[in-house]
Parts: sequence; C-alpha cells; structure tokens
Amino acid sequence: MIRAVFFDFYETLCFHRYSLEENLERIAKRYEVEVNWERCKIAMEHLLVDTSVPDPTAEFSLIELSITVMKRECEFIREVGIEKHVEQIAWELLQSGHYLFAANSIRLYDDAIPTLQHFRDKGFKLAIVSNWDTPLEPLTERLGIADYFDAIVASHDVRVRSEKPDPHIFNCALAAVGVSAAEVVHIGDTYAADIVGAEGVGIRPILLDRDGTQVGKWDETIQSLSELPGMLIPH
Amino acid sequence: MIVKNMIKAVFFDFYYTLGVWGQSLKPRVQEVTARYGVEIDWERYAAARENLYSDASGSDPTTHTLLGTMEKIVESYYEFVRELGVQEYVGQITWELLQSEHSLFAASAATLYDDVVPTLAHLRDAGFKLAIVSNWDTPLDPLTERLGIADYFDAITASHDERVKSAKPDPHIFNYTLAKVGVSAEETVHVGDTYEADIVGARNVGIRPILIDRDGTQTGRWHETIQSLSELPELL
Repeated sequence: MIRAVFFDFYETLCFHRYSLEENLERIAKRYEVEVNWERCKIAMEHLLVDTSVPDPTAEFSLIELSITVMKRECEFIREVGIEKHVEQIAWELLQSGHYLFAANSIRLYDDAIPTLQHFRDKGFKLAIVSNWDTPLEPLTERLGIADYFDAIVASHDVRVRSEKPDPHIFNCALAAVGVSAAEVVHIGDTYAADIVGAEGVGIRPILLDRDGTQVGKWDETIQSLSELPGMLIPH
Repeated sequence: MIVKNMIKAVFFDFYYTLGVWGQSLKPRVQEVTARYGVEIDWERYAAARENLYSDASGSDPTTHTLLGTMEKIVESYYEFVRELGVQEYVGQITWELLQSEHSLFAASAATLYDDVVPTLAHLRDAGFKLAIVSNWDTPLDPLTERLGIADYFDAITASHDERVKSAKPDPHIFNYTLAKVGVSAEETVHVGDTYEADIVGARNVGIRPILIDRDGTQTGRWHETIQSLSELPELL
C-alpha cells in the first residue's frame, strides 16, 4: 500500500529557464559590455569544476562557499573579456542562476503543482530527496511548494551528508516522513541516483523521462508527472 | 494654450514605497532555528539585532564594492547567529537567514504592496515613463525581476550601483535617472516615503515630489501627500 511519494528535485520538479550563456548575454547588454563568446565555453567548464562541491561528507561552510563562488565568478567574468563592472556583473549572474544566491531562473514544470496538489488531497505524504549543495527550504519556499512536503531532504545539508544512490539519504527521508520503504515510490530523472538508489533501499522507483531519451532503461517510466496519479491507487 | 508642467515620467523610491519585507527578522529566526531544532537565547536577541543592523548598514556609495559589502554582511550575520547562542549548524542557519533577509542573496521576504502592480500597469498604459530611484546596496534589477515588476521600468537606479555612486538626496542619482529615461526634471514627479531623501532630494533638482505616508505618521509634512499609490493617477 503506497502512502508516500518522494520526488527528486532538479529536472523532476524544476528546471533552469535560462542557460548561463542566456543570462550572461542579457546582463552584459544591460551593462553595455561585450562578451568574448569564443572564450566562454572553456571558461564555463573551468568555472563549473572549480565551484562544484563533490563530496557531501566533506567539511565546508555555505557562507564561505558563497564568498569563494563570488570571487570565482568574478574571475570568470574577466576570462570572458569583461573589464568593467566585473563584481556587479558576476553578482547579477549569480542572482539569476546560482542556488547559493537567488537562482531567479529556476522554474517549476507545469505539471509539478497539479501533481503535488492531487497527492496531498488524496492523503499521500510527500517528500523531496535531492542531490543538492544547500538546504532546499529557501528555494522551495520561494517557488511556493515548500508547504506540500512532509520532508525536504538535500544531500549536502549538514543534517544529511549523503547523496543518492547512497541509502542514508533515503533512510533520512523515510524516518522524517514516518513511513517504511515498502510504502513509498520515488520519482526521479537520473537512473544511477534515483532508480538504483531507491531500489537499493526497497523503495519502488519510477523513472521520469521528460524528453524521451531514456526509453527502455527502466520498466516503470513516465514522461510527465501527470501520469503519476494513474499509477498509484489511493490508500 | 501651453500646458504647464506636462508630466511625462514617474519616479519611485523602492523600499516602503513599492516593496517591503513581508516578514520581519524575528519570525524568520524563529522559523529557521525551529527547523534545525536549536535553542535561541532570546534575551540576547535585541542587542544582537542592534549590532547586526549597525554593522550591516551605512556603507558609502562612492567607495563601496559589492564583494567587500558581501564579505562584511556575511560576517555580520554569522556573528548575529553566534550571539544568539547558536552553536550547531551555524553556517547553514546563517545562509538560510541571508536567503530570506538580504538582497545580496535571495531576499525571499521581499514583497510588493498590493497597490503597486495596478498603479504601474495603469501609468504605463497611460503612456508615462517609469523609473525606480532607490538608496540600495546592490543593483535592483535581479530583485525587481524576481518580484515581476522589472519590465514596467525604463530605468532602475540604485545608489550603490557603481554606475551611479550617489545616494538621495544627492542630485546626481536623480540626474542620472532623468538622463536614462530621457525626460527633464519639470516633466517628472518622484514618489517616496522619506522626507529628507525623497522630498528634499527631488525638489533640489526641480522634480515635483510626492510624499507617500502609508501608515499616516507624517501628516502635515509635505503639501502633496498620499497614503496609497492608488491615489497617484488622479494627481498627474
């Protein structure tokens, strides 16, 4: 009997409406500065490597990371040939795209709220289980979905420190919601993290393949969250 | 007949005129720390808050840098959380507070007054040019985009933006905005809630000032005073 539905966050419930290049183009225009687009691709790759937080068990401070990321973003802005207003442009770019700042460009998929509303109305418990570098309460509050969830579990939260497919992050969510693995389905878009991870702890996994690029990868696959209610009979 | 003072543009102050923090610091501290199950020493709260706001305000727009301000702000909030007696999860709790509270981060608590969007829509439909002229520590484009009002404005001018470096009542911030919008001072009204910055500042450059006194505490201070932005269209 299914009593709870767990969701991956990124590219399951939400996505970035604009890419880094699109944000940079818009901001650079506001500042009337030129971007060297030829250098941008490689500079972006280096930026992503330098500012990633690979291991959730490592000691790190979010606020120190914020400063480091801001400094590194300034270097990136210089690398793409911008010499004026570097700090402000770097910060505006972080405001638009980065989860440590405002991540303005993050949007919910159209099927997210109707699906969450449906399951809540039917009495299911809901949770997010996400590999994410910060706690997700601030962002989910801003997106207006925080109140749907009984637990919001992020890998790099110091209260969690475990990322999918590791069992601990799923067990954290099970304990926080108060259900057993047999009573839960988990929906996500990443086979190795979501399907392998959920199956590993005895949770029924459903693969979300929004753009149809993972056909045949898993037997229970959906293309939209709106297919989900038909698969789960209310208890 | 020549129509005198044909108004073509409306400038707005931001804080307490268009936007406000919908929730004050204390309930946010309560919410966040409750989520972490940590105890707060509320007896220390008043003093800690005072330290925070004295540390975190008042940088000079002519010398300020955004990264410098960020380093200072982060340290001030970190210190604030420690002063409240929080010992566990200090970094994460500080970051969560910054997300809700500070415009350098997400300023999740920022909300618009109910009269803002109808007034902006009305004035734009009537053909007025619109701008924001604000004493603010960061550029205001990201926050106004997030609040869904950025597209109403022909210029969004913030004092601490390094393209501006001037805070009201200084004339430069007004003149900068006039130039960006492409209007003269006589063609403009400026609406704000702070007598010194908004009324004195606008008048000094020849812009017609209107005081907005939302909570009725500034009665008699200035002859053109409104209590809501919805009174504005009929004054123009």
